[in-house]
Amino acid sequence: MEKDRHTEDWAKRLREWEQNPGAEPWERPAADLWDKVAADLPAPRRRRRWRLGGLLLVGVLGVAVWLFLAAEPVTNEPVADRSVPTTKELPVGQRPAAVVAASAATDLVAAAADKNSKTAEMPQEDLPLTFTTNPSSNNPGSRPPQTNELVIAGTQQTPRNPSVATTALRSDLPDPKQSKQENRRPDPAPVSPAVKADEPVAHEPVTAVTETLLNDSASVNTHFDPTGTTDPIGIADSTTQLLSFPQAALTTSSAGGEAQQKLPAAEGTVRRPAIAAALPTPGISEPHSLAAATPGDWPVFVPPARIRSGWSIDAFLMADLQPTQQTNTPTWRLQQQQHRGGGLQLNKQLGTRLSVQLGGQYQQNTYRAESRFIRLFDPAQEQNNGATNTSTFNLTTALVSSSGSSDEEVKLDRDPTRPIPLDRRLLITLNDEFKFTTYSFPIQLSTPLWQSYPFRISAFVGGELDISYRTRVRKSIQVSTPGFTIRRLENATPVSNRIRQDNRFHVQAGARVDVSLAAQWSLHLQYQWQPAAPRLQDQLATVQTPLRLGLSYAW
Amino acid sequence: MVKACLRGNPRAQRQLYEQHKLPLFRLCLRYARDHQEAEDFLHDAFLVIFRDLGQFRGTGPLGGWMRRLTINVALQQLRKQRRLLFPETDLEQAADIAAVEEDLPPLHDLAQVIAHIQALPAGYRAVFNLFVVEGFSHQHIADQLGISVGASKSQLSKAKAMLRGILKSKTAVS
Repeated sequence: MEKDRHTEDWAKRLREWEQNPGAEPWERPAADLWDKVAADLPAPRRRRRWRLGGLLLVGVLGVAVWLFLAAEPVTNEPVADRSVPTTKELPVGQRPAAVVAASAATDLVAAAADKNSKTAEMPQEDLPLTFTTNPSSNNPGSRPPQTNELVIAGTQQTPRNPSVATTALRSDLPDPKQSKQENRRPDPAPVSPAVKADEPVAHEPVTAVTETLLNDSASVNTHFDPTGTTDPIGIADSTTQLLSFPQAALTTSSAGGEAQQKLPAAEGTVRRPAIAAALPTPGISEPHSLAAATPGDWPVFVPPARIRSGWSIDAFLMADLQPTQQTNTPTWRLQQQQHRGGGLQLNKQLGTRLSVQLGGQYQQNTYRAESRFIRLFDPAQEQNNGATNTSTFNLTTALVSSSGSSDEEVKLDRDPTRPIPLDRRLLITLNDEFKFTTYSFPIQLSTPLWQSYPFRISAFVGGELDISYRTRVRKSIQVSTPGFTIRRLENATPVSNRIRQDNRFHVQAGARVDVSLAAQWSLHLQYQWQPAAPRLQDQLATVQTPLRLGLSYAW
Repeated sequence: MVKACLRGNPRAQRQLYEQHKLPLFRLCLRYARDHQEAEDFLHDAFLVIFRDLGQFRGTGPLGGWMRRLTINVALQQLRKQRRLLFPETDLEQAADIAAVEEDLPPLHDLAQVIAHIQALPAGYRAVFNLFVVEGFSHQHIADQLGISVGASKSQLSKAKAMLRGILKSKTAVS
């Protein structure tokens, strides 16, 4: 069928009219139509709220960092420097073992400084105990340890507090290059003139030196150069007065090129507990000394996440373990569809038994709601609208959360030619989907319950600040009574997405299992108990038990 | 603006609405039976437009894409309300109808014509708009509405006849 002339004209005029900028009132939509469209649009992405949330998180983290830094700082200072006074402060008889050891080193310095000392003439037979540094690292061609020798399997480590004694004793040995090195080094520190090398007190502390060295490989200078051609790191600083660890014992006999020192008898006199007490706290610092000196019956779990600065960060996903929640009444049905979330958490170790966690997380709960309304038909209330009659009903729909309800107005059309009896029951069904988005900021304290590498179980308690938002999406509107059709449904009152929360802060507790994966990485599974956020209707559970799976990185 | 709308920017959405509300509302007026229903169509059309804006590929003008979407929404609403009733017409009857087809009278008053179009039964109105104004073929209309080609021709013919009758009577009265 071809279009005729006037039909073409109609088409042209009508299309031009559509694009005509000017408009009479009858050609314009109602001014408030946009408000209705906007009210039914899905909620926009809350960029500004994200920004606010981000700023809040940064602020909270900043406060947490400040608090952590205000706590006792982690230090690499040797234990002896922190807790043991110098030999000058206590009489010899009252000195602790480490102090006596230090004193012995000083004594040896004094003895070495004295060219007329008899110590230098001491026969080799009187020195049954031999020390050697790690032969594989420093002396590849050296012989294996012999009887009456104790090998200190120390790792290579720069001495933290160089001792003058080592230098002094080295100078005591017949070394052709010694004079050359002496020119580069300052003179040994002055020692107490009261201490003489041939006095009995000069021998007894040497035993203590032996004991100390047996248990603290960290103090062993494995950079020792048996040929004396190079200057061991830090050894040259002979002006130091504080002798933290008696590295004086690590002098060598150059014979055979082996780094070893023969000292007066101290066989079988190891007293480990005394040394263990002087060791640094496990898990805070000194990982090498701990690894080397820890006896087998000590707690051996030193997770990599805890041996560095004590900081770690977790990234995790979470899901609620509660069975699907639902509530049913004759006019209301609510069913939980899904719960999911994720977040980041910063951890700080505050010692061996305590750590604090601070984080930010996101949760989303989705519920499907079905509201059923029964209204009675009254023809007298109808409005004639040309070809149809329109009935208007007010509905009050629940908003699931504590924010209450929403008033809505529905208009039903019917064909006036089709008779419908008075008080006919009209069943109107609204299907909505509610999404509750919660941003949480938990802070927790945790303590280990059991640990055996690579596993660690800990328990925690804490609190959480919640901010929740709701989004309602109308899925469908149905009228199940024949002869009626939905004409329009609109909100009589605007609905806010912000949820009124009477209690934004709540407590939580739970347990967590860490499995170390690599040097700085570990996997964790966490189960926790907490009041539901947001608190929904009474029919639904008010407790959440989310299970969390995450990855941790420590530094 | 499209990208901003896709991000859910309310200002951009409002701007898009303001730019296109007039032509789309006039389009809705032709498919609706009254002003109120046209507003309903426009309301639903914009919900669909914002929902499906991500599918707009930018190959043609945005206005044309929105227009097609609005027509689809209007037809869908009419179908939902079960007001698109098309009695079956066989091809022979359609041919007879086509044979007696007469031209539309000249168009003078647009407002009056729109009111007359709105007064047509929903099926007549839909086919008339799709064929005369949108320029769709009967086959296309039949596919779109799920009816036969004969039914489409029949509806168009009846719509034109009804319009002619109304306009003639109005002219006679004036």
